[in-house]
Amino acid sequence: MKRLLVMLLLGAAAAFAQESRITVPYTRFSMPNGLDVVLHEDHTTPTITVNCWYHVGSSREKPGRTGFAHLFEHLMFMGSPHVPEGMFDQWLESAGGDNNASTTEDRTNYYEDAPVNALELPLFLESDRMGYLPQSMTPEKVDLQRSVVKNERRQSYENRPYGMAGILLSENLFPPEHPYHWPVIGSMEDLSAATFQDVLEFFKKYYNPNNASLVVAGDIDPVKARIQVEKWFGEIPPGDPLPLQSPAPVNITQEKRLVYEDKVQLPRLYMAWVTPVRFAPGDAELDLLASVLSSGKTSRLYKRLVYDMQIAQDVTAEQGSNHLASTFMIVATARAGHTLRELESVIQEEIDRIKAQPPASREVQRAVNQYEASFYRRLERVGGFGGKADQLNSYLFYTGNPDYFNEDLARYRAVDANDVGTVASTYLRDNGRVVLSVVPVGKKELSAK
Amino acid sequence: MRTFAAWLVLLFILLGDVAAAQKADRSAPPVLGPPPQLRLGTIQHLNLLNGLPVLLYEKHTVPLVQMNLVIRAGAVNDPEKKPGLASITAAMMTEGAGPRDALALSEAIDYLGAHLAVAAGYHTFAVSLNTPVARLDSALSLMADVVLRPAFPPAELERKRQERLTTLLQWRDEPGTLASVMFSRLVYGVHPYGIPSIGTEQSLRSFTPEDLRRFHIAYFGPNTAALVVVGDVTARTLMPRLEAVFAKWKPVRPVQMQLPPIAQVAGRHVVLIDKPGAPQSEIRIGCVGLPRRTDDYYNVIVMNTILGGSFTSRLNQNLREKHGYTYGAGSRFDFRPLAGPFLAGAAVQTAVTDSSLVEFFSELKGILEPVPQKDLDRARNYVALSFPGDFQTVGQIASQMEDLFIYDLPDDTFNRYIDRILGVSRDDVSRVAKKTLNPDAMVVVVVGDKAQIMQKIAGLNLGPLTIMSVDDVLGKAPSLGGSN
Repeated sequence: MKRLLVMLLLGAAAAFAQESRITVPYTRFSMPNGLDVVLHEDHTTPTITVNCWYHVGSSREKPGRTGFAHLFEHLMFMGSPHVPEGMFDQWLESAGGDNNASTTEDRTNYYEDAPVNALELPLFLESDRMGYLPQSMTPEKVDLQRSVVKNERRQSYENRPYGMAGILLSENLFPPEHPYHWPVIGSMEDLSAATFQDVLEFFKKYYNPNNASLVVAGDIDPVKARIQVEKWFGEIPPGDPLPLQSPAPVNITQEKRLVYEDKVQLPRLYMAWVTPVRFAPGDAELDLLASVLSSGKTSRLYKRLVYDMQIAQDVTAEQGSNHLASTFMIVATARAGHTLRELESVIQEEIDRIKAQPPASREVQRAVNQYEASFYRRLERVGGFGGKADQLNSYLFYTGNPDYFNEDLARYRAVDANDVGTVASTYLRDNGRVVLSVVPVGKKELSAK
Repeated sequence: MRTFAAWLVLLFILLGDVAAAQKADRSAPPVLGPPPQLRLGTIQHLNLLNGLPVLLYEKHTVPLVQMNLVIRAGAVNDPEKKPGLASITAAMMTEGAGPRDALALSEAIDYLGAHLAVAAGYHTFAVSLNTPVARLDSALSLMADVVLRPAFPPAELERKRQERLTTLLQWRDEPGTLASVMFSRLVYGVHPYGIPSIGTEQSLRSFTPEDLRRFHIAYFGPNTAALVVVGDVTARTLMPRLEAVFAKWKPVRPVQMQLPPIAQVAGRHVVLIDKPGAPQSEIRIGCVGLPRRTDDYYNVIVMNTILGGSFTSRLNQNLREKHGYTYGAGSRFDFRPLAGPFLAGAAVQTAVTDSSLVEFFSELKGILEPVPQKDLDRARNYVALSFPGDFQTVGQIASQMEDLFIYDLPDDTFNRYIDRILGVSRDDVSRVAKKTLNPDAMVVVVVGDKAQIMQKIAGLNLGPLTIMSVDDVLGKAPSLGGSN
C-alpha cells in the first residue's frame, strides 16, 4: 500500500471573517516518490498556476562551478524527451500560458500560469523535465544557455551602475567555505568551465521529486487536480535523500572596509551584517528595524540624510532573509559634493541612537501596519513570482507549513519597541560588519575610508 | 472539524487508487478543452453631485480598496519653456497638503499601511490610493487633501529640484536610459513625446511654487477627471463618503494645448552614443507607431506579439535562443492618445553589436511577409487567453478601467477582448505590418563602446552614422554643489 500522508487545513471559508486572522486554505499530500503537493482553490479568475520548487540553489554548488544552479534553471526550458526544443514555450503560449523561473542561494522556483482549461499542459511539461531531462540534453544546448546567462550577468551586474556591489558584499560577509560566499549568478570563468557532465550530475543529485514541492492553485477542482498530478508525476522515481546543510555560523569579529571604483557619478555606501535566518527569532524584528530606519519620509535615516540634511539621494535598509544566514544592509547614495564619510557618520549616529533608546511605539506600530497591509496585497494574485502559490511553496520550504501566513503576520504583531532596539544592539555591531564604498573611478577620496 | 478532516483523508486514499490506474501518455501534449471566457462583473457608472464620474467595480475577495483619480492633463500641457512642470507638480502634491506638512502627510499615510502616489503621464495625472478597507475613511481624507489642497511649499520644491537634478546626473550612468532618451528625441523632436517628462536642467531650475499652483488650478476639476474605485466596497456606502470629501471641488476650464505635429521618421539613421569599456551595447530601433484608438489596435497587438512581444517571438528566438547574443530581445507599440512609438530593442554583447543589428533588421523585414498560420494561432491565443490573468488585483483592474475613461472606450471592451484578438487574421497581420513598419525609415540608437563597435556598424551601411557623447544626449552634467 502506498505511503500516503494527507493533511487538511480548514481555514475559515471566508478568509477575512475576522480581519485579524488571515489564512490560505489548502490540501496537501505527499506522493510515494516523495513529491510534496499542495492544492489551493481560488476562483476569482478562470486561471491556474503550477508552481514547482526544487530545494537547490547556489548554496549547493561546488567551488569552480559557481553560477551552475542558475545556469541549470535556464537549461530546464530547453526541452525534454517528449517536449522538443522550443516547444515548452510554444505549447504554453499557444494555450495562453506564461512561465518564468528564478534561482536564489536556497532554491530554484518555476511557475506556469495558464487558463483553467490548460491545467494538464504545465503538469505534463513540468513532469517531463523532472522525470527525463538528461535524455534530451546536449552540449549545444548547454553552450547556448551559457551565452544567454553570460549576457544576463553583463546586463544585470557588469553593465549596471553599482552592479558589482552585491557580489563583493557576499564575498566579504561569508568566508570562502560558506555556501553564500559566491554569487548566484556565478563568475564568468566558472560559467565557461561548466561541462555537459556537470549538467547530468546536477540533475541526478538535485532534480528529484523528493527534493521538490509542487503547488497547483487557482480555479481548480482539488479532487481532479490531485488525480492529474498523480498521473503525471507518479511515475518519476525518487532520488537519494540529500544531506542537510549546516555551515558554521558566521561570526565577524573585526570590521572589514572596502573601496571599489565603478563607472558612476555618485558614491554609494553599503553597510552589511550577517543576521538570523528567515523566521528565526530576531528576523521579523530586523524587518521592522529596517522600516523604522528607512521606510517613508519620517523614517530615521531617510529623514536625516535625504530630507533634513539633503546629503544623500536615497537610503534603504533591508533584512534579506535566507535559509542558512540573512543579511541586514543599509545602502545610501551621496549627493554631489558629499562624501561617504559624511553619510557614514550620520548613519552611525542613528544606529547608536536606536541602540541607546528604543524607538517610539508609534514608529514600530507604523511599520507593523505597513506589514499587515502588505499581507493583504500578497493574497491578491495566485500565480507568478510572489503569488499565493509561490508563497505556499515558500512557507512550506522555510517552515514546513504552507499556510504560515497568519503565523508570519503574528510575528510582526508581537514585536514591541524594546525588541526593535534590542536587535539593533545585538546584531548591528560595529565590529561585525562589512563597509563597502563604491566611488567614481579615480575618486577614492570620496570613500568612507 | 476533526471528523470532517478525517473523512477527507479517506476520500483521498480512495481517489489515490483510482489515479494509480491512469498512465501518463507523453506521446503528444495533452488535449485541452475549450478556453474560458472573461466574464467581468458590472462596472457601475455613478456621479458625484459636482459631476465627477465614478467608475466602481466591486471585488470582495481581499479587504483592500484601490482608488485612482485620473485627470486629463499631463506632460502635453507643459508650457513650451517648462518641460517637466506636470511631472514635478505631481511629485509635489504629496509634499504637504491640507493641514499637514510633507512629513506629517507621509507619516499619516504610512501609519495607515496605505500607498498614496501621484504621477503625471503624457496626457493624464493619476492620484492612486491603495488602502486596507478598514482604514478607507482616513485614507480618503488624505487623498482629498492631496487632490484639492496641495500646498507646494517652497522649501520642499527646492528639495525636489535638487533630487531631480541629481536624477539627471545619475542617468549618465545608465545605458538603457541614455538609449531611450535619444530614441524619443530622434523620433519626436520637440513634441512632448520627444522630451523626458522629468524636464531638463534648465526647466528644473526655473520652476517656482507659483508655476505648480497655476498648473494645478488650471487642470484639476471634477469635469476633467474620473475616479476609478475597485475593491471591497459597495456604492451605497462609498458614495456618501466620496461626496463628503469631494463635494466642494469646482469645475475648471482647462487650456487646450497646440502641439507640434508628429511626423513619421524619414529615412534611416544611426546614432552611436559612446560608453567606453561597456561590455554590452543597448540597442533601440523604431519609428512613430499608432494611437490607442486606431481601428488596427488588436491587429497590431497580434502582429507585434509575433515579432517581439513574447518569449517565443521572432526577435527573442533569433537573438537569444538561436544566437545567444542577449538575455532578451523584444519590441512593442506604446499606445497613447496620440501616436506613440514602435520600438524594438535589446542589450547585446559588445562583440556582436553589428551582427545583432543585422538580425533585428532581418526580422523587421521578415514580419512584412505573410506569417504562417501556426505563428498567428500561437500569438492570438497567448494574448487573448492570458488576458483574464490581468484582472486579479484591485490595482490591475483599476488600471485597466482607467483606459475606459482616458480613451472613452465602452464597458464591454474587456469582455469582448478575447474574441477581438482571436478574430485577427493573417491578412490583418500582414497589412498592419506593412502599414506600420518600414525598416528603411527607422531610427537606430546604440549605446556602447565606440572603439569596439563603430567600424563594424559603419560597415553595415544602415544609413548616416552620427557619433555622440553622453553630453550630447543629456547636456553637460548639472553642476550640483556641496553647499548644503
